[in-house]
Amino acid sequence: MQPILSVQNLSVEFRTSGEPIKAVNEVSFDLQPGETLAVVGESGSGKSVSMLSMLGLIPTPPAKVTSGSVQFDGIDLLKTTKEQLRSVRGRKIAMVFQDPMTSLNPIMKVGEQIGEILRLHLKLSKGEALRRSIELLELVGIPNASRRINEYPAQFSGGMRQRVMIAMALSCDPRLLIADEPTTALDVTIQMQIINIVRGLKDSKNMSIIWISHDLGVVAGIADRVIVMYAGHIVEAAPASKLFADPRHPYTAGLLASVPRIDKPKLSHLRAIEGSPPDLSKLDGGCPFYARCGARTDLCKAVKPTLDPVGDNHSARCHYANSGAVETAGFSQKQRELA
Amino acid sequence: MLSLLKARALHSIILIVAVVSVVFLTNFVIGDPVKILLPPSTPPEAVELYRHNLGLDRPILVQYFDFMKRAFTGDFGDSWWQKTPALPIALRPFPATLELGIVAMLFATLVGLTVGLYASARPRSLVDRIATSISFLGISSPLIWLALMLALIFSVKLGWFPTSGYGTLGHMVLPTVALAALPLGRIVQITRAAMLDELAKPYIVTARAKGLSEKKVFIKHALRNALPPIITEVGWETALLLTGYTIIVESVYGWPGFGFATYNAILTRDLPVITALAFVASVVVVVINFLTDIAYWFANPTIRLR
Amino acid sequence: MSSVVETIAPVAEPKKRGERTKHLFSLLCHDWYALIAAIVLIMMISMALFAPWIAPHDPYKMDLLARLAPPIWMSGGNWNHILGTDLLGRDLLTRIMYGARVSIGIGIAVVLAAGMFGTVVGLSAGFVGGRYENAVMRFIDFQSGIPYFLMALTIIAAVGPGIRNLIIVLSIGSWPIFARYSRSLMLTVRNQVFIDAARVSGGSELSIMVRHALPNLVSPLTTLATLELSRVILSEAGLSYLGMGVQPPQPAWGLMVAEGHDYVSTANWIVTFPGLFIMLTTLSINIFATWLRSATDPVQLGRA
Repeated sequence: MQPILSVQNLSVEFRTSGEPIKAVNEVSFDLQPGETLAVVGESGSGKSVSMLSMLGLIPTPPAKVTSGSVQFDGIDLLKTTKEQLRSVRGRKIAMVFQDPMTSLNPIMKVGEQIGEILRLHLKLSKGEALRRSIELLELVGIPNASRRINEYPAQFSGGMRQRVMIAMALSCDPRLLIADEPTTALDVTIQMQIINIVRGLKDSKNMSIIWISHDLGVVAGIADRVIVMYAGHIVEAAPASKLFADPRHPYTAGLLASVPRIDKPKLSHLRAIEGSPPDLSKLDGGCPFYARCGARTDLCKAVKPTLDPVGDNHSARCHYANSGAVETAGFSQKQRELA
Repeated sequence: MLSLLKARALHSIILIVAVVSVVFLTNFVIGDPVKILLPPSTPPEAVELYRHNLGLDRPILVQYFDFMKRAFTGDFGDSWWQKTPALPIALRPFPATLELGIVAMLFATLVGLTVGLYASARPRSLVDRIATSISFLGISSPLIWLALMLALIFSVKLGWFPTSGYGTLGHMVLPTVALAALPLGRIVQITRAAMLDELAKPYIVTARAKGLSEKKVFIKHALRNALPPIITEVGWETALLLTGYTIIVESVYGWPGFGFATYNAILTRDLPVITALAFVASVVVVVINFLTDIAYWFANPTIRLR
Repeated sequence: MSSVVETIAPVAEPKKRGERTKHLFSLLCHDWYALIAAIVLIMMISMALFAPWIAPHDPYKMDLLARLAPPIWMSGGNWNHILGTDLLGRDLLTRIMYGARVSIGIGIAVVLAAGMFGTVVGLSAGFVGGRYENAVMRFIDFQSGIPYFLMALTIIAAVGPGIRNLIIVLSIGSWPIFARYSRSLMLTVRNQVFIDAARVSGGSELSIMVRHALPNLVSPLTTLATLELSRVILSEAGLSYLGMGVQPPQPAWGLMVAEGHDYVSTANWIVTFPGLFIMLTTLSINIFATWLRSATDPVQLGRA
């Protein structure tokens, strides 16, 4: 099957007054139609930057795409014209952002914000756009839609606002939805609601989803496939079940071990990964995870590992992925069980 | 809504009363107005008689309440110099100032907004640098010096415009430019700053992600949100201009307006006219504040939610 | 969006005092405008400070034979009076130098007085809150509704002109700005996490404020004070021009412009130069203070 999105060797740098910061480092992945891909990593891992730069949404004075291609619907998004890109944004690829309070225009009525896209891409009239907006609000489960269409974002609760964002994103029936930490700013109970809404809509519309998160619990609930990013690199990619059952990169194992589990009383303490994310302007030759890895060797310091297959549709960026790196780093089978 | 208006009206009345009271009372604390009005050689009995005739020998509080009572009916007394009612004297030059003020503020706002918008659209570019330089020049100009320099260069040396007076469009050019300089500088700065603030916010990314054109994002999203602080600043500058800057500029150019009248009245210690002028000035400020609030109310619909 | 960029870009480590000043200094050297502004400002202040030693003449000495002498580059000028003389034959350059002392001195005095008073009021209002804060803010709003310039003129006309009254009246006009700003600073600081952290570790709220919060307020308040300084200098010039400020024969820039008013067409240097100095001073102050604000406020760093 032809992937709906194919990213090859995407690299993004930030030019500051000092050394350039390599925020995204040769990221490659494919996305199949109808697939939900989760992108996992800490703050600063490059997960948001890589997705945003695909659509040209990172301001290019400080940022610069230094290499790569993003094939979508027959065109390379990185090399296409501005008009083409604008016709893709909102229409074929839609985005949902993290904090709906600041991601929605505070002084514009909700109906107007949704109607904008409809009138732009689908050329609907004002009346038609209004009707369709009301339908969309109902679709995401907002009661009293015809009244609330004329309200402002501040009049909605956090969860409702996120539903509005989702309604906005789905308005033109996009083929791909990119959700950048959509539940991070919400209460846990609301999180589940949002996830369920997205899951339901995805099934009914056969939409592909890229779901960015740092929360493995959320990822477990929604992902078909997972990419783990660290310091701008993809360090592991696998189908969700495989990743949780058999991680091959020490970082992935560390992430899994640090998630608290109610049903495993034998686990005496949470394992945190020692150290902190590296300075992205000073990445030298070796493995980006070297400083924090419990299984590191001199080889790791000298040579950067490549992203190699380690199983069926499963790849990892580690010299010892096939030789028990995870165990060496101190993550036993018992501690890693999540699925 | 109605209660807000009522509170507003009360607040404004208290303000006007306070301004007029302070002006009235400070003129009695020090400085004997009578001595200014009469030649120094006047014998003391004549001075006392004059004082008595003007009612200036009564206790201060009595004079104050008497004055306030009459002021509420619009009677501020007669000008000590012109012997005609003070309030009409204060009101008569006002249209001339309004002419100057409105044109100057219109110019400052339109040009300032445009320049500020361009600068914020292309930060750190040449346009931005020029705009910022212009704005700094504007806010740093001493009004007196600017007015005199403009007169010197364009009137005396080049002869393009008349130096002073009132009547033709040509008379209006130099005073308008002098008045507009400072507000222009401030409006450029606040527009630029407000726009840059908005453009850095997350909802702009959302707007772009929807596929909207840069122009739409800039105007329909960013500018709309940047307008409230800009409106507040424009209102503030207008009040400052009409009640302050005009005093200097009109004096330099001999423009027969409110500011010129104020300066003359203060110089001659014409107490009734001074108080009448203070009254008019505070009414002007109140009206401008009110108009600014209305404009703000339109620009920021979310305040209606509170 | 900005949060994405911020998490990528390296966060500046809080530096020690000495390092910070050096870092600031190198930043200054990279920004042309600000550097020139700073140099001009230093020159102006030095001129004011050292006037008695470097001025060529006595500012009050009249020489009626040499009155209205033009500056050196015009015909009739001579090296004795580089910038010419005024209507009473007093050397213009000298008077400008001494005028700097008066004009800048008054400005600094006002900013200090209004700044201290306004900051204390504002900080206490933000700290104590409640009815006190409400009352203070209402009063400030109230005072802001008063047509300031007109009131200043009438008050000075009534109580008499002179430097002391000038400073008082200008301070009355200036303090609300400090009060408003310092209150909003206090409100922001109060809510910050590190205050809570300090609270948890013990210590009275007031001592926490003083030890942890106040040091952070120094630089934004200094920037505000600098900006206010330029505004006050302009106001003083205006008031002196109208005869309600510094009185003759004292040299003050605004007054000198007034004295030269009648001679604009015949001897314009009397007006041009003092005004030029006012303009240069306020321009440098504004440019420098604006640069200072963006250099010390970490949020603004990306935006120039």
